Parts: sequence; C-alpha cells; structure tokens
Amino acid sequence: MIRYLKLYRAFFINCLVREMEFRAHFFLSNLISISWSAVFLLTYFFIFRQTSSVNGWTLEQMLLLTAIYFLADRVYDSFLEMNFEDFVNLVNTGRLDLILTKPVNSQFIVSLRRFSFSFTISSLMMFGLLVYLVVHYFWPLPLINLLVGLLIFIAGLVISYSLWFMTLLPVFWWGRVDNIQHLFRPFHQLSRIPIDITGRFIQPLFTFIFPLAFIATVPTQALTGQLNWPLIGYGVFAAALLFYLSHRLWNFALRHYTSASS
Amino acid sequence: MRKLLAYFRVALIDAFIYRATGFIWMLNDVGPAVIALIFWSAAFTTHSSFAGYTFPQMLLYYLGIMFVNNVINTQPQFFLSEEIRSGDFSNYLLKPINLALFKFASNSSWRFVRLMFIVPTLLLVAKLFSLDLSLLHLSFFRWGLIIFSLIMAFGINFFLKLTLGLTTIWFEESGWLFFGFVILGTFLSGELIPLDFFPAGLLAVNNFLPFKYMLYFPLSILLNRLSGQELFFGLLFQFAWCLFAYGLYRLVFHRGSRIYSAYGG
Repeated sequence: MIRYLKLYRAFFINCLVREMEFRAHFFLSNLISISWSAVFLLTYFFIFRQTSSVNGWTLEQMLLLTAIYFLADRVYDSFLEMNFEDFVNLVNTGRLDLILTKPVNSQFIVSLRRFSFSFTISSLMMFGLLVYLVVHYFWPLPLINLLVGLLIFIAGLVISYSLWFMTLLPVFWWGRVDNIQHLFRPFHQLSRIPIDITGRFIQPLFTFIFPLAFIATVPTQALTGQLNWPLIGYGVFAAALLFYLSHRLWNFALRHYTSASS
Repeated sequence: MRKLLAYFRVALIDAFIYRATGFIWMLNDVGPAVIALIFWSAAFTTHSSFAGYTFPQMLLYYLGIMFVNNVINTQPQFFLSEEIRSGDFSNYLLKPINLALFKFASNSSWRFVRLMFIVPTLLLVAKLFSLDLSLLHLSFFRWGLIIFSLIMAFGINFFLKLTLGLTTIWFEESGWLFFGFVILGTFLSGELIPLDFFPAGLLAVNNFLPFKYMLYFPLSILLNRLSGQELFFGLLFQFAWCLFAYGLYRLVFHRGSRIYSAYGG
C-alpha cells in the first residue's frame, strides 16, 4: 500500500510539472467546467419557479444533489478521464506491453497514471457550494450523517470507477472503438437526478443492479438528515463487489490481449 | 451533385466501418434527453402541467431534441480544427474541393448511419413513455413549416460551427471556443428545459440570439405553441440567422485561407 502511495506521489508530481507548461489550458478548462455546472444549477432555479417541490425534493435538495454529482464528476475528470482516454490507444498500439512488464498492478497504472490539474478550481467550487448548502439549509446535522455522507460518497466513486472501467474492456475484442470511454457517460449522467423517485422499474435497477444511486442520491439523503442503514450497508458492499469484479474482468480481458507488434 | 454523391459515398463507407463509434455518440446525444424525461415523468406524478406543458407535450419536446441532436445538429468543427492543425486543410485550398459541400456530405453520411440507431431508439422511448400520437396529427402546411424550419436550423448550426472550426487558423487551440459555444447553445437553445421556463428578460435577449432557432423554435412549431405573429417573425429571424451564418462562414473562410500556412513535408 505504501509503495503504491509513493508511486502515486511520483505520478502526481510528474503531472504537475507537465501541467504547469499549459497554464492557459488550466484556466480555460476550469472556466468551462464551472460554466457547465452553473448552467445545470440555473435550470433548477427556473424549474422551481413553477413549483415548491418535485416529488418531495425541494430546490435546496436538488442543488445539493447537483453539487455532489458535479463533485463526483470532477473527481472522475481529475483522476481518471485522461487515463481512460488513453486506454484504447494503449491496447491498440501495443504500448500496454510496457505496463504489463512493470512489477506493479497493471490496473493501477492504466487507471491512475495521469492526473489532471485542470479541474482543481472547479472541484473546489463544487465542494464550497456543497458546504454552503449543508450549512445554510440542513444544519445542524449529527456527526454520524457527515461521516456516512462521506463514506457513501467514496463508495459511489468506487462504484462509478468500477462500472466505467468495465465498459472499457470490450476494446480487447472489438479493437478500434475510439470513443469507448464515452460509453458509460450517459449512464453516469443518470445519477444527477434523484433516483429514489424514478419509479418501479428504474429505481430498483439503478439502486441495486447498477447502483448509480450511491453516486449522488444516497449521499444527498445522508447530508439532508435521512439515513437508511440497510441501503448504506448495501452501497458499501456493492462498491467492494464491483471493484473486485472490475479486477477479475481486467485479468480475464488481459488473457485476450494480443499486443500489436509483428 | 455528382461530387456531392461521391463525397457522401466515401464517408458512408467510413461511417459503416466505425458504426460502434457512431452508436456510442448516439447514446451520448440521446442520454441527457432520456434522463430529463425520467426526471419529468417523476415530476408529473404530482403535477398536471409545468410552464404550460402537459407530460405528453414534454415527451414530444424531448423526442424532438433527440431527433434534432442526432440528425440535424452536426459537429463539423472538431475534425476541421484537427485538419487545420495537421495541415490536411491544404487539400481544400489546392484541390477543387468545396469545403462546405464536402463537410455537408461527410457529416450527412455519418448522420445517415446514425438513423439506423436513432429511429429504433426514438420508437422505443416513445413506446416506453406512451407517446400521444394525436399530437402528431398536423396539417400538411404545418409539417412543411417544420421541415423548412429544421433546414434553417441545420444551416445556422452547420455554418456557425464551420466558422468556429476555421478560427483554429488564428488561435492554435480553439477547444475553449467550441465548448463555450456548446455550453451557451445547450442552455439557450432549450436543450435542458423548454425556454418557457426562463424569466422574461432572458427570453427577450434570447430572441435575438441564434441558439433558440437551432432547436426550440422548430420544436415549438411541432408543438403548436406559437401565435401567427410569433411564427412569422420567428421564421424571419431564423432565415436571417441562416443567411448571416453563411455570410460569416464565407468571410472567415476567405480571410483565413489568405493567412493559413501549413508546415511539414
């Protein structure tokens, strides 16, 4: 574990040096992602001019849900997006060979080799908005809710990573599908609406089978004073199971890797 | 016309080879509208209407968005920008190829292949959310207006995005301009929510911008939400924006091709 942390620190510093060469890109990426989040938040203000609640969800709860979703999205953008974008090329050009020969877990390197600093300000702003909303509208909150909110947010990130990573693996069989990293995106976007009100079919599907509800809906519930212990337990279990499954599938997919040379 | 068909055929072969890529882009274009529909179907369980829309109207609106985003709104700017950076743009200047015509043919062929995916998807979504077919019983005249308005929407979107792509000649990195345009467009064209939810002040400004004519306006003709006067002035503005977008594209193309330089051997 310590070895991996040290390795990640080296990746991190390497990426920081690289990113500092492209300062304009840093500011523009942040500006674009902040504007994108702002547009979504604004639409909720417009919708809630027509009503005080949507199936039990108030404007403040919807804004908190959106802030949590975009924070999770920024974590993806910062830690994973560049790596997932490079994934197809790694497999198709045979550069994966180099990674497989290294004495480190290959899934760790293909997932986390590059870190993007381009979303730092945007992530901090989403976190700031989250704190503002909780303090202004849902405070006082028992400490246990904060801790559970954090725990389930991390579980949501693991679920999102595992599902997203598994959708990349068909590239070992299909070959050149340049945009396969975008296959999971529309499903991930589903987590920006409250999954608990989506009806008899979608709600159980995206809570228990593809547990996207744990990315934003369940953390929002925890931070607004609702704790459903069996659901929270299931979220942590699902995160661990999907992470394990992603690792097993990675090893299975690697057996079908044919490299690209000669 | 023969040239156009030849371009179309070449790009069609490419589009068929990369059909999985097309399918994934289709999912990405359809996804946000389906998510919005799921949200609205939950919201309508406790309300009978929002901003004058009943659920069947809202469903038709978002089905319209899926259709326009997949068939009408093309994205030629990204590839054009890449061609300018790599030097392949020289082909349009040295050979007797018309840039707009070529891009029109290649984008249409990709969209043609996408029809294979989008038509069943639209039918499926319409079935799942129980589309009220009586909303589609419109006069021939109205269908004619919708088609005219969609062609204008295509023109505005196509020429403005080509112009954006051409700005790569001046700025080496134009991604921020593209995404800035996409964000503004997504918000002000009515792609997230119908513009009827917007405050009056913003709507008044938006009437003079091109975005609503790329999506919301043709959809409001479909949904029969416009008075005769609104329809007349809307079509006039839409036509004017289409002409302006074409003129701007011509101007930027001529200025750009004079200062463009390709490197490498």
